[in-house]
Amino acid sequence: MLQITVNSALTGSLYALVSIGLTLVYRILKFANFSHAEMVASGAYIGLVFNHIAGQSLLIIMVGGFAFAGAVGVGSELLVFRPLRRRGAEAISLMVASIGLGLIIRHCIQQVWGPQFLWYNLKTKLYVLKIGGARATLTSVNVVMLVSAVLLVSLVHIFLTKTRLGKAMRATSDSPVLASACGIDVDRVLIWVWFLGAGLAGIGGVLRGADTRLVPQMGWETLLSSFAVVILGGIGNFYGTILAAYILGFAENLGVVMLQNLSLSTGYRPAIAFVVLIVILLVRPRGIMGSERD
Amino acid sequence: MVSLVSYIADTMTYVGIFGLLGISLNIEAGYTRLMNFGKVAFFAVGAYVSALLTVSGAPFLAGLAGAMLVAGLFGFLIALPTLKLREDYLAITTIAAAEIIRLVLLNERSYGLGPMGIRDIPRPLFGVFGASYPVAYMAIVWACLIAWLLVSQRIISSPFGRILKAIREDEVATEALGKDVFAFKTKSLVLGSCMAGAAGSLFAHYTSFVSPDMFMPLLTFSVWTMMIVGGTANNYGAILGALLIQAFERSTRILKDLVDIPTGAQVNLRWIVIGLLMVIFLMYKPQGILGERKVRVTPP
Repeated sequence: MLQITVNSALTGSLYALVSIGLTLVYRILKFANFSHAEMVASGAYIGLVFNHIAGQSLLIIMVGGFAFAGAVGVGSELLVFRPLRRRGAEAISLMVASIGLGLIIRHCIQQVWGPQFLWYNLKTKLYVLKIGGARATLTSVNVVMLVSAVLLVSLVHIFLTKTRLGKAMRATSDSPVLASACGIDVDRVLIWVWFLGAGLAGIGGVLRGADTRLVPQMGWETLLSSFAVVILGGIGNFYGTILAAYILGFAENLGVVMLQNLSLSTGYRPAIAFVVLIVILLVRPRGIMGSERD
Repeated sequence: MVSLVSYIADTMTYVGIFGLLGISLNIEAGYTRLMNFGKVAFFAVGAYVSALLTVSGAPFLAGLAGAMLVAGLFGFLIALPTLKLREDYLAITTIAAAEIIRLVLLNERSYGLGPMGIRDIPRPLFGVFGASYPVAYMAIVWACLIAWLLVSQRIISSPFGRILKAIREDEVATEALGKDVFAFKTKSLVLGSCMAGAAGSLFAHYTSFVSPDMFMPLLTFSVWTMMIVGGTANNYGAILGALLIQAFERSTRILKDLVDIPTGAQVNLRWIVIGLLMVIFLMYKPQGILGERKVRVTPP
């Protein structure tokens, strides 16, 4: 049971990092950004370069992944989504375009690094956690995952509540029109939203890559769960998203144990997020902390 | 010479099958604005149902009917939780459902499912045509395509089709006119799903082998690109798109044989171009090459 809790916290940390950007963009621009998956992958893959140059420091890989994925996010806003909006494209066209953009980025990654599994060159240690009679094992990468998720989420919280730019982001996500009427440069704020959201997804990608392996479709592996998290948390709700990430993390890890008990293949793991998604849509489509408006 | 004829027949068979998928997506997305991002799931369901039925002895037509029925039922099940909500929830749900279907086909061990796929799916009328079979099968596929094209053109110009278009343009206004929007959307999704199931059946009986890795999510976006390039809300556009994308995919394969490009690079390049086509068309020509035809209104 302790191991399940630890694993749930790990999965939840990953989903929290990946989902923040998805939910912010979803709220402000009103479209489901499927290319968000590729921000995860591009952060993870650029990490390979930093791993090669700077050695075995996971921290440097994370910073590199953040900066590069953030830049990819900003690039996609400037090259694809902003021009489309200027031409009067609806939210639905942006969603379809995000699929096309995702195809481009993913196959560029595949062209550069190849379709096979890759691993970072890292030294990992194995820790054993003992509480009472229960034990759980976790690697040093897992420890970094837990700590950095808590740190980053707290930082984003402070950023959103205490800084001028963070407050402008919240105002924009509440109502872009009203924010713009109050003198907020919405276009400039959006650039930062993309940078922050995609960058955090990039860190998520680095951590997932360090924990498991790198593969071009690694973003897609987390995308479905991330959408379930975003909808469960209520679109655009930062705190709801964090809570939902850990709830889904727990549901998935518990679900895997249940699959084993039912002697079903654990290959069905991605289906758990799907079941959660369908249940939310049927029972409470605005999510646990979503507002009435959507 | 024979090989050239069968190559063209093979190409046109695929154009026909993807044309069917394109029209089915057009009914959903082009006319009703239902963003089905899981087209491949309905295609896969059709292919597998038809394969399982005919392998256990049922005739081809029973397989085709079964494929349409089960795929339509699957569309109905997807419609229930999603079509009353925001339109993008359907996209997320269908893309997820497509992955689940593939997982089931991959992990389920009973009924002959599993990673090895299903082999020796009977090819209808194979004994009759023998060597000229590719041409004969092309004729069967195109007969189905033309039949479906006529049916869907009829549907689109009927009062039912006009309501679908009204929902696309303004859902609230259509609701205010007393139309049951949810029921119409559901019918549109079921219709499109039946058709995708039929395409799946035709595909399975042509390749005579199906396996889970034939039904990757990428296939859905291939069909989307066909619709976007050929012309959204125009069934002829969907067929034109199928022809263009099929010609493009084949030419990259031929190019690979002429110039020395590694297989990986060729596949990556193909998908990068398809992604670019989606983005560029949405940006510069969102209605596609053909686009929707204007409706003539005769004053009373």
